[in-house]
Amino acid sequence: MIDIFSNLALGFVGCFQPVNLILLVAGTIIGLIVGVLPGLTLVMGVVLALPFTYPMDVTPAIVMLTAMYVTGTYGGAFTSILFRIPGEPIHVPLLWDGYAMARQGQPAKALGWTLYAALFGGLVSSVIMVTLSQPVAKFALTFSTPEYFAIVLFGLTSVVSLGTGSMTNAFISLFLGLLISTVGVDSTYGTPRFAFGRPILMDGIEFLTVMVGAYGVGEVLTRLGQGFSTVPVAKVSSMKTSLPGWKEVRGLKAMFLRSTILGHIIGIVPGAGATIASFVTYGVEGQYGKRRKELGKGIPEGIVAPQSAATASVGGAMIPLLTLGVPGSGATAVILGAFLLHGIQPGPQVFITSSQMVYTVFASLFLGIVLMCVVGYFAIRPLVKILDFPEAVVSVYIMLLCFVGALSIRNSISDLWLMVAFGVVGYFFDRIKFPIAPLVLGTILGPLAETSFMTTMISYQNDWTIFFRRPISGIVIALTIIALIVPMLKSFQSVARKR
Amino acid sequence: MAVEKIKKIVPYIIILLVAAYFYHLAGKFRFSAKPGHLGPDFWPKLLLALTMVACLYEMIKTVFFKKIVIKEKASAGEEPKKEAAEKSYPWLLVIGTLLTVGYAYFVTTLGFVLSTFLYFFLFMIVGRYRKIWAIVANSMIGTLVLVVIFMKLVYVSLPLGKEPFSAVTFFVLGILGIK
Repeated sequence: MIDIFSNLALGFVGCFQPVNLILLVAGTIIGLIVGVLPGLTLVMGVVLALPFTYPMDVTPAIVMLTAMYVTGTYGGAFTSILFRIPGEPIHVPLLWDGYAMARQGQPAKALGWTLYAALFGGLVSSVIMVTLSQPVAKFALTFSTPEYFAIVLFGLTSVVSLGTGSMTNAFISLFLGLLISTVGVDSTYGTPRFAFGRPILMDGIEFLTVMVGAYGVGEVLTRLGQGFSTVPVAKVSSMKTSLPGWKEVRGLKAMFLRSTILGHIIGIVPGAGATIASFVTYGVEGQYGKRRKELGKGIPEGIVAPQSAATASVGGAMIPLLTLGVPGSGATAVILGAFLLHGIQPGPQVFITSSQMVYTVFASLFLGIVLMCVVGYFAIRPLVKILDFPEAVVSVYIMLLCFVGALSIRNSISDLWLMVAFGVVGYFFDRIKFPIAPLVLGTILGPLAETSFMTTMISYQNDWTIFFRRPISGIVIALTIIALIVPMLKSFQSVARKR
Repeated sequence: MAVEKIKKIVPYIIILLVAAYFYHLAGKFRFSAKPGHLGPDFWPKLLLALTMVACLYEMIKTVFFKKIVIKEKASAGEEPKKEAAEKSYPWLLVIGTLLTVGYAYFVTTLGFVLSTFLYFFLFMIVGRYRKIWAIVANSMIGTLVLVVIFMKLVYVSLPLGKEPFSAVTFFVLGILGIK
């Protein structure tokens, strides 16, 4: 434990280095802007920031992206509460009580509750993250390829089972993503696969190309097809934050803690991100909360639960990313991409080889959360002003950043073509209701899944029962099966009920 | 009803056919097989087989078991609101996509500076933004900002273009003091 504290102290020292500090502030402000803009999702924002990190060292790059990730879970709260415009899907639950409280003439107080919730959720979750990461990493050092395959399988299955909409569509999207990752020269046999003799395809398809195209270009094309309809912003009387009194906060301390822990746990589960955390905790309040009957009428519980869980999910999501190298959400997938671009493979080894970097990132999360609340408290008016920007202007910048992002991956025009193609795929996926997250996560985790599966098969003479016979992989595979079966059963039940 | 069902299964048919074609391609991978080892075709074939099974499942489900509910027209009061929210602009989408493909096609010839300026300008117009001075200013400032960031601060090797368009790139780079 002392080891962890001393490392964290060194991390704070690292954070105060000018470059890291400047990028932390920049990441915080950009994250808030991304959170406010309805046309720019959190993942897209982090994707677009990626090209800027190419010439940076790995630490400042990750510090900036992590700051954006955490603040993105807070920025959209302003517009949800004041204008009923959720900047992110995360903030939809805030429309129910946050906006209702604002309509009752207390917008400043609603914003105050959000600030407290984000601060508490973020900081407590960061403490849990720091405490758990090193032991988890030590434990993960004992893992072999069957365990890695089982964990990746669990991650991929969770993405499918926790998503909304058709599970079959999510599976198809996932299989296609995994398939994209097989393009190029096979690492075991050196055989070209689906390369069609093209040099760029021989090197494989970079997951960043898929990500930038499907998330960035695809989303802009979808919105262009809707005519870039900008939502008119209503005028509000008060645009400041008023912090609730200590007595009021103390009365909700159990709820603060419950939502934070739940949000953190949901963050750890691959595939479940801030949005699910926010909806689930709101649902839990609706079912078990003391004032569940008043939920939706503008009570603090309806604001604190989703906001604290959303921000807490970030700390949770960082644990599998750093300790196992398995991203659980779109944003952590981009952060994994940034690590890989800088030649670092996250996983248990990173706590030994790059301990200073890991703890600087941890420390930056604490500082970023505090900074986010300070900026959010004082700069709400200029932040909300961003909503006045016409969508066509914002979108053209997004498109061009996507182009530069694609061009800079391998300095190849072919990547630009591939990105545009994946943008069109992203658009059609949206039209036919195929989720994009499984496609992207499949592309990212595909090589790890294939390598760990094939290595296991070679090591254990094609005995696939090994995945069930080894205790840890057996448990994880069992969890995977449960994660698959439960939503299926629920779906059958709802069909039966309808009949 | 039958038409609705066919519309629903079209994407699955396309994916199924593409997956079948790729499965066929995977069978043609050339490699020297190691006895007792799975080949490089195993993993892609497994994924393609799973994709085809998923497509078939969805097609059978849609054709034989799904009831297609045809949306009835909303009440008179709700209709305009709903229509406004669901309004689509397919031509904007087509032009925007062509513009994007055009950017990828022309960027090596025109260079990053010129093609970015044109893309800025045209995309905002396609996006139904009509303040012409704001469009011109945004296009110029936006292009210069991107050039400064990505060609001066964050060095990314962006296309300079071919003669005579490269002259424009070098002129702008010269003004910005980028060597």
